[in-house]
Amino acid sequence: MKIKAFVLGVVLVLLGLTAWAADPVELVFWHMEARPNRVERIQEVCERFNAEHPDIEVVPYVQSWGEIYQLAPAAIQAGRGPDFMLTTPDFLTYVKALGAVQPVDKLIESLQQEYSFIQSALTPYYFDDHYWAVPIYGMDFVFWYRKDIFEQAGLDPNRPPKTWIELLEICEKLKASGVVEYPIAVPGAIHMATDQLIYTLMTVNKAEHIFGEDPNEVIFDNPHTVEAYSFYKQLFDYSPPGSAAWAWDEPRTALFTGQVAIVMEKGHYLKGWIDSTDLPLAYLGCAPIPVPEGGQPGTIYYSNGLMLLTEDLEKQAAFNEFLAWLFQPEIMSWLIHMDPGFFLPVTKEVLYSDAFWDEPTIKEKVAAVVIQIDYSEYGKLFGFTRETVNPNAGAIAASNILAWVAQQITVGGLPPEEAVKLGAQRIEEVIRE
Amino acid sequence: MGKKLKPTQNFAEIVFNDPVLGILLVLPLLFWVLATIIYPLFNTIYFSFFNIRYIGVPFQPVGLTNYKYVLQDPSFLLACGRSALWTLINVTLQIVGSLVVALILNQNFRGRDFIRNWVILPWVLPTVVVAIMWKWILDPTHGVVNYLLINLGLLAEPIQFLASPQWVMPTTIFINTWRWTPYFSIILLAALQTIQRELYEAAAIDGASTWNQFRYITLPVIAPVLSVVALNSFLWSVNIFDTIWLLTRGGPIDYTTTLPIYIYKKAFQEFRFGEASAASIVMFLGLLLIVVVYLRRLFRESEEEGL
Amino acid sequence: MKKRSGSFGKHFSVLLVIIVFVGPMVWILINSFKPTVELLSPSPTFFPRNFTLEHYWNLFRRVNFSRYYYNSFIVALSTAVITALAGALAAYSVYRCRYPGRKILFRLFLSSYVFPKVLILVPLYIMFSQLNIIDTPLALVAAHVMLTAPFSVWILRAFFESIPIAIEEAALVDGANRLQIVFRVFIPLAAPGIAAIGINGFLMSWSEYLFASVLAITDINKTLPVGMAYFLQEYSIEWGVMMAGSVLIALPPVVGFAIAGRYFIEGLTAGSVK
Repeated sequence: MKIKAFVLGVVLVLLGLTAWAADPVELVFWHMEARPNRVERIQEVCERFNAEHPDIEVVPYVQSWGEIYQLAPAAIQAGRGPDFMLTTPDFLTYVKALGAVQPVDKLIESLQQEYSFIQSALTPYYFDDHYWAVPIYGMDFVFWYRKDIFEQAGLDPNRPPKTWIELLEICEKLKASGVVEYPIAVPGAIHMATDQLIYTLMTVNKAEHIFGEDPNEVIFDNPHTVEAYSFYKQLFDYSPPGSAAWAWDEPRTALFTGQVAIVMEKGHYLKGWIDSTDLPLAYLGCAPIPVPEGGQPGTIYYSNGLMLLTEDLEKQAAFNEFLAWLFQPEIMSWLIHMDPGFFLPVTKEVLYSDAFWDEPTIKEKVAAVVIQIDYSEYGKLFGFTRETVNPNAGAIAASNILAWVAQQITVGGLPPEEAVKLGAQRIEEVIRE
Repeated sequence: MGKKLKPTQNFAEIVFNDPVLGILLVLPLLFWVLATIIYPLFNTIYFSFFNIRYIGVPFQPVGLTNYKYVLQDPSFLLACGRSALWTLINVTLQIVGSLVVALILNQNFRGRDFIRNWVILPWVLPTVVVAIMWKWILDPTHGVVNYLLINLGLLAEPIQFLASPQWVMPTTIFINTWRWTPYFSIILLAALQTIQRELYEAAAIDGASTWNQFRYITLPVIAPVLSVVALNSFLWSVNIFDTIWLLTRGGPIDYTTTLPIYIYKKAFQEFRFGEASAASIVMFLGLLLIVVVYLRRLFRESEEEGL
Repeated sequence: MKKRSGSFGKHFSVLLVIIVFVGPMVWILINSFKPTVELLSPSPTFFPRNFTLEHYWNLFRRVNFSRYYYNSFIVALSTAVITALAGALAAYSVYRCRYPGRKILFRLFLSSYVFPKVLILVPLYIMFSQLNIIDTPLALVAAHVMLTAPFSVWILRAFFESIPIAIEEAALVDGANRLQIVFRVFIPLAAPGIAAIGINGFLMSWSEYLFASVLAITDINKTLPVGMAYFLQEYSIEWGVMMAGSVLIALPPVVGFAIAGRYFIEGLTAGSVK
């Protein structure tokens, strides 16, 4: 026994020494979660991994979503890119066009042996016969409303609208009640925020496909899209003046200060509410996105993934090890708690783990989190709803075309039919070879 | 400034005739200009014949396709129109505005030198500061301009200065003019100050009207300066990017997408560097006439000094 | 003119000019000290009722402001020094030396000022990507010197003319060689002019946005205009922080101008009025 322990000890020490002596494999990791608390959490996660794996060093660098489209192509081509980085499906198409993204089929396969992925997280990363990134968390749109204002206006705070018609009725009642002058806030700037709301309305109205089965055929100009835009315009007219220049923060402030009673947005409102208001969390109601008649349950769903760029085999192996570690439910829960209630699990294992649910904010707003998770199943992303993806699909998001079409209606005064027609032309233009 | 010196021929030969020294001293700047202006300039021409989507991927030669595309692109033609409008109004307002400001500052009042130095402040401020400042002042909900207009009963609804199609162009033009007018007025002021006050006094005694004093005394002196101001104002206005971009990003819709904005969006949002290059070449050709006039002027001026 | 506009008209017009051109910045300065509640209240106050420095504090806590400041400072200072040196030497060469091609060089420098800068934005970006210096201060300095140095040769013209050639002649007679004349005799004499082009370079680089937005993209390499512009786009309602930022960004140019403005305006007007 003693000898065994001694030998084991020596071996361990030797192993430790070699690990210490050999340079660790360095993995440069870019992410775009630029808010301070998220930067900090990602740093902590990497540090913990590095401490547990002395032979690997993951070094995170924070970038910003606003500028990554310019930076990444230049940096990657100049050989100054990261070894792996955070991505969304549309950003992925950009980088993939450079020939720099490595398929991760084997890694996905080995992860699938242990974990079962939520399909809508995986789908947008599978095209051209390969998986191009490993999803790590998702986010989607829900219907946020002020229960207190609903109550003051004589509405049942526990009966949020289920259909588009109900939503318009409630807007009218809120307005008539005089409790709020403007019932809802919608963004209208040429900005991602507007794109996302529009696409959310498109999905529930069965207009989720921008391309036909043939990825070069643009089917954006169809009655369902037009209806979605008409509905957006009706909401826009209930939104405070100046909404045509609004992006993320204005609707959020309008809801939190009680200027309006309704906003459709992502789950970061939970933590935002706690951080920037003194009101009880119970005032903040959450519901699925209302669905029109003949529509379908839906939302926009962003699957955030990690894509591998390095060609170095040793680094690729280290990346696999990092992900295997990261996917453990407690670690993953810890990571996505960087903004509780916002980042949604992509595996059933995390979803059903106590680690995920055992967080104060999530505990308090279980219902809101459950709605987001339930609806992530129906989530879609523009340009990534088919088996084959147009290689330039990312340009639709980069040029904010959905928002541009919205402004044609709200600012330019065009009828939705004509604006959508113009939008289809713009899309064809940006995706052409 | 001091008087121009006319060196004696002998001395000039001793001190000046030193090609080695001359070339040695000019070399750093020459290298810089060649590397960062001339070479890229030729590259723009070269790139305009290629399809360049991603840097590092081999470029595809496409002949004149980029030019054909750009010249047929309605957005490009609209951007040309907007640039023309933007430049024309800016130049006009800047000339008139700077002349008025210069005349006001040319009066006799206490602290004139001090005020003259500080009126140029808008030009000293970084563009991003100018953008934030005016966005705040003109904000529909919190801005002081809308607040005053509504409280004075002149308006019922706040004006969306930077978000409505009718207002956005006038507003951005105003802000740009506001920024450049002081600069030009200082130059005009310097010219005005070369006019002797006695001339006005004598004219006044002769019974000349204010307008005639301006017409026959002031204008002849400042006319050449005015034309410099006009040319400068034109060249700077037409190339303005940052003011517009930071205020509106070319929006709402495309209402303030002038040529520089169009080129920037093509290159760095759509990643079509070839088409962006073609568009910039077309823009340059359009400006060529003005550029030539301007350069001839500068060259003539330097010619007088033996250069 | 003097006859008609009485003392009132005169002072009123001057006051109007001051309000229009200086007023907005003063308004921003005042507002940067108001707490958010007061800033966003439906009836604006003129002077802050509750004076606060929270926005300035937030600027450093929530935004990478000190880093942007540092970057801007390094880039602007390098641009200023290189512009002053390269510009002064080239100006000496074209104004004080005689050699074939001098005229062409001078015209080259003049012309480079007239080209639309968007024209070289794309090739410069591509060239710097290929040279692997995108997102480094080097790329920014290279671009900013390009924007300011060639024209500074033209600005220096008046300054150089004001220096009597007899001084160089005397130095030559004393046995100094020509390089010594340039560095020991001439440059000190032309120092105010060289300082003016240096300051011009600094100001230009400090506020430059177009090239900086394309060439400095990582958060840690951003300059002030790029960092603030991003803030303006993404956090468009944080007015207090933006105004505090504006005040701090405007500070160096305004202070620099207060110190050297007189020279600067003289140089400016001497160059254009001739």
